[in-house]
Amino acid sequence: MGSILSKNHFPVEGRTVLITGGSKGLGLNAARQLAGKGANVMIAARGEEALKEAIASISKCARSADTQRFHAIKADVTTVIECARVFSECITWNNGSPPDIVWCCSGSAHPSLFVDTPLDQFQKMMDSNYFSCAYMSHVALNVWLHPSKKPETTPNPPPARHLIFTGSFVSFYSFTGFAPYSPSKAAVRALSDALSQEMNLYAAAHPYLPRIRVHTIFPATMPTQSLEDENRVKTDVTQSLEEGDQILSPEECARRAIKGLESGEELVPTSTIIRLVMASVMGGSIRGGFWKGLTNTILGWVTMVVMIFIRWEMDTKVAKWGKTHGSSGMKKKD
Amino acid sequence: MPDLLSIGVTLLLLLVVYLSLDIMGLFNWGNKFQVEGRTVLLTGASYGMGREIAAQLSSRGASVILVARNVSKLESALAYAQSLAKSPSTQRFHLISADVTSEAENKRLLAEATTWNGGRVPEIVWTNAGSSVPDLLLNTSVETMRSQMELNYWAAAYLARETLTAWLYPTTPYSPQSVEKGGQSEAPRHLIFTSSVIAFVNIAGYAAYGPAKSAMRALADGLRNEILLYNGARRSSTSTGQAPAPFDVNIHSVFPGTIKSPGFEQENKTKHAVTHLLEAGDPAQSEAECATACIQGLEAGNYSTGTNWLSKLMRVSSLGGTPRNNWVLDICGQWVASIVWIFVLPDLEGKVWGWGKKEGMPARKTELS
Repeated sequence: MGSILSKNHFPVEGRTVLITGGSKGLGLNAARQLAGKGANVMIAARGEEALKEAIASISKCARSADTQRFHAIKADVTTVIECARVFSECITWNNGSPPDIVWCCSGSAHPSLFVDTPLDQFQKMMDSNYFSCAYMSHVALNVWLHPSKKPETTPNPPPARHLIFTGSFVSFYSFTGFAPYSPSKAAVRALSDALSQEMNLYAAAHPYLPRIRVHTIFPATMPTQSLEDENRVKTDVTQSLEEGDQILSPEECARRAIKGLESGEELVPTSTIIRLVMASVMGGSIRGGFWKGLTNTILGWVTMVVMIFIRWEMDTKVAKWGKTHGSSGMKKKD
Repeated sequence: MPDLLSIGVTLLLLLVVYLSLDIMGLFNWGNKFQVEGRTVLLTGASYGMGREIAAQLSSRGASVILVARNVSKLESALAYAQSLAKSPSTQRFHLISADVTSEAENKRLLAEATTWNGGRVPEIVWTNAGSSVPDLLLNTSVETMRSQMELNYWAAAYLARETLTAWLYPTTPYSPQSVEKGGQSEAPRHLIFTSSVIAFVNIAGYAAYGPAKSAMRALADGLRNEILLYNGARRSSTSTGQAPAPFDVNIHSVFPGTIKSPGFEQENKTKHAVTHLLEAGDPAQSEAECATACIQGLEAGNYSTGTNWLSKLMRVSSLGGTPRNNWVLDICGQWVASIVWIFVLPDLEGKVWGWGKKEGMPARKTELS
């Protein structure tokens, strides 16, 4: 039983990881920790300065500094052309082989009331949060599933490849202030579910190619630069709804994400509350074998009763807010 | 202790009676979706379920503005709706040809609808336009991925934004008198999204359509909570210089499954064989049946409505924080659904796997940019 329980479903030693949004926050911390586990890491982001600092800090974490390699590329992954460019540069840098793991961390949030949100922000969030994942999937899967040379017919299947997206608590449950942002994150989760199923098809058709696993990480609130940007536009009412939310350092978040990946989870919650809410909307996403499925099912039963109270509490808060402060979402300045 | 026992049994019986009456809907009577004498703005109205919705709302006494792209189909749909009008002498009908994937077009069509409606923004706005181009992700071009998001999410988001702005922040601000507590309060406005069961559970072969409908669902969910801010502000004695609307706004979503419509035939042209396999055995509704189920759900005051047994089951399996329609039924349904999934999920996965094993690697579609 011990070996079944402790099998690492996410081995990275000697393998190559591509991380978008890898210069800050969750992406940077994931890069550092994977470097510490022996991976070669390539990061993509828009800011040149941040990329330089990030690479320096990532390479310091390398387990074997003389064998592991690190690379940065400046790119804006909100277009498919850029995603293709990043991926092909990764192949060149990786001695002609595509990366084994692609982790999409780029994204942004602009939490403001729906009618008050400028139109370009909607597009921006959908592009940076959802389409960046969708395009990267398209590019990576195309290369992975149509290899230039025929794979060897080995008796032991090669280790799986991984495609990882970043979701959010609001993928499961949207509330005031996140109406422009949560659709992009819900779309990410839906993409993850559909692709996960589709990969079954390719895996069965191609038993000698590495299986492709599709995951989404659901990070808790992290005190990052992005959160500061977010909080500048966030309404007071949204902040009051988020009071008491668990805040995790991006390092801890990355640690929990990697732990979840290593234990073979597909949808990876990084905090208890996310796990509970996720269990209550699982629908067809229950995965991970019989025991995990059963645990999630029972958790779901418990949570569905709890959610009634949580939602009632949030609804009451918002209605009361409107009654007290009017409809701007902001406290009155006296 | 016979007294305690009889008290206990009485209480239990009362509970059973209460639950039975609740299930029967006795505590939830009354039509929560008044349309008689009011105006409905409906997109995707020229064929499919939209055509039926227009007709059924007309038969309930509404004036209807039908929106779609094709004028001749709109004319036919308008004639059909008009023919069923409850009070033909007072109900009015209008058509607007527009491409709802553009923000500018949504602005235009709402303005035209308002002008036609005597300067009043329609009281009911139903964003129903949408279509599916299903296929495996790798067979889907980037253009299709974007256009599916445009039609199935952006179109709804644009219209929702225009409508809510017009209702809550009109160009001519509301006069403060309409805020008097207990003063004249108009019947609530309704913003309705036509979503899809795919928003509950995304499956292989809907990699472009599923995320778009999930996005729409998340938007509706967030808006549902957010709209309480404005509804609450109406009851406020604090004056902020911004007068609230003299009506509440209610948000709703409907979740059809398979509808026997021209849209479905179109869909099946690109749908991958493995998706057909997963959907085999799904109940299919006629356009009229589906429209009726949607409207009945709205009349019951539901936030989210499943249109057939499968849609209802899928809905309860991913409820999370969504409002319950009926506490007893939804909670029991959720327990049942979660057990059902334990068996159904491995079956779905097995089907996809089995297809791949049998058919081998899918042929690559010609060059996709």
